Amino acid sequence: MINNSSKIPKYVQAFFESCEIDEKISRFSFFMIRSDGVVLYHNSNLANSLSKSSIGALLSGVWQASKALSQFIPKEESKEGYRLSFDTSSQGIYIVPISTEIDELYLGLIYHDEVNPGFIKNKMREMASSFAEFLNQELKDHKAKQELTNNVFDKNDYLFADISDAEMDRLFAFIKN
Amino acid sequence: MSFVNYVNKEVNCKIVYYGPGLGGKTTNIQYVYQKTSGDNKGNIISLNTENERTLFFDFLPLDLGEIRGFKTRFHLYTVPGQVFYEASRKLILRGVDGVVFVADSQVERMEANLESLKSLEKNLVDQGYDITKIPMVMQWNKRDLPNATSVKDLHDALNKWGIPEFEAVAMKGTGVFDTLKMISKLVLMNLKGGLE
Repeated sequence: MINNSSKIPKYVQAFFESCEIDEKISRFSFFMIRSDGVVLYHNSNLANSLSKSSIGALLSGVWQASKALSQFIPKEESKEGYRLSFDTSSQGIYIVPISTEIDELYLGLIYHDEVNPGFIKNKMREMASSFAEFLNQELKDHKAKQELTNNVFDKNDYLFADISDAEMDRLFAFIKN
Repeated sequence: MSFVNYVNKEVNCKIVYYGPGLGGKTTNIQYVYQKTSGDNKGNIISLNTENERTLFFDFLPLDLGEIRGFKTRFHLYTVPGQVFYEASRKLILRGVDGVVFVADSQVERMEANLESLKSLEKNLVDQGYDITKIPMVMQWNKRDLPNATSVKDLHDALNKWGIPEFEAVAMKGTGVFDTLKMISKLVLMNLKGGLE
């Protein structure tokens, strides 16, 4: 049985290569993340890639915490779905969920000096919706192709069936004395 | 859930340090941070209360280098240990690939260890994990204190599964990397995905 989650990075890359990002958004840093905080895409030149991991973890954490808090809202869940804003009138953080058939993904934007935040938030929602459409179509095509060729990878195998102590020592060679 | 990125040939894994309050979870990852060279680590993120107790989580991203052509990136998280942060602990366990249970060796903390382990078991089950199947390592921390329980008593009380266990003095770094190395190995060997 194929694990379609592993295909997502390929589709994310294809999406951002093929679509034109609104220039108002591309001025700022935006991130596509998984629910566990793993960054799938970013356009940021804010910092190095490890700082981007931290941003991914924080975006995911703030979303998860807000979602848990939303359970205390004494009303049935809105059909519209939530978005998350932490902002002043000109700068802030904005997170929108992406509905896909497999994983829960989010788009997060960090913006500043913006005279019309409403406009860029709307553009983010459009981007999330376009990506969801793109991904779901790609997955559908992939499934159809798979059925046609009956070419199924076995994703239940272990990636590294055995790892020696020497390999682990090499991985941890970075430790300072 | 671990994430294998075949495009970039990268694996991302999430390790959570769990255990009772003031047991040394944050100290573990602070030591890892101190002893890791700059290119391999990101900034440590700590969401703390004013008195330096973990409020939501600590986070440290680590690049461990390559294994069989795959870059390995580990995300180390700690949970807040205090009893009333149960909701936060549940959130942080989502998508976990491996758990380090940091037990406080002091005799008077045995009850807190047991309570925390019970909460771990429950939170894992709530999220569809089986504690006997998820990679997990026990760390008996604070072994240098005079009121430390014997290792045998800790083992008997907390490690009925017979999973790997390490003695540690996290403040001095003793046992910190042994623990991390073991959980990393268990997590990597548990990765499913096969090669395309």
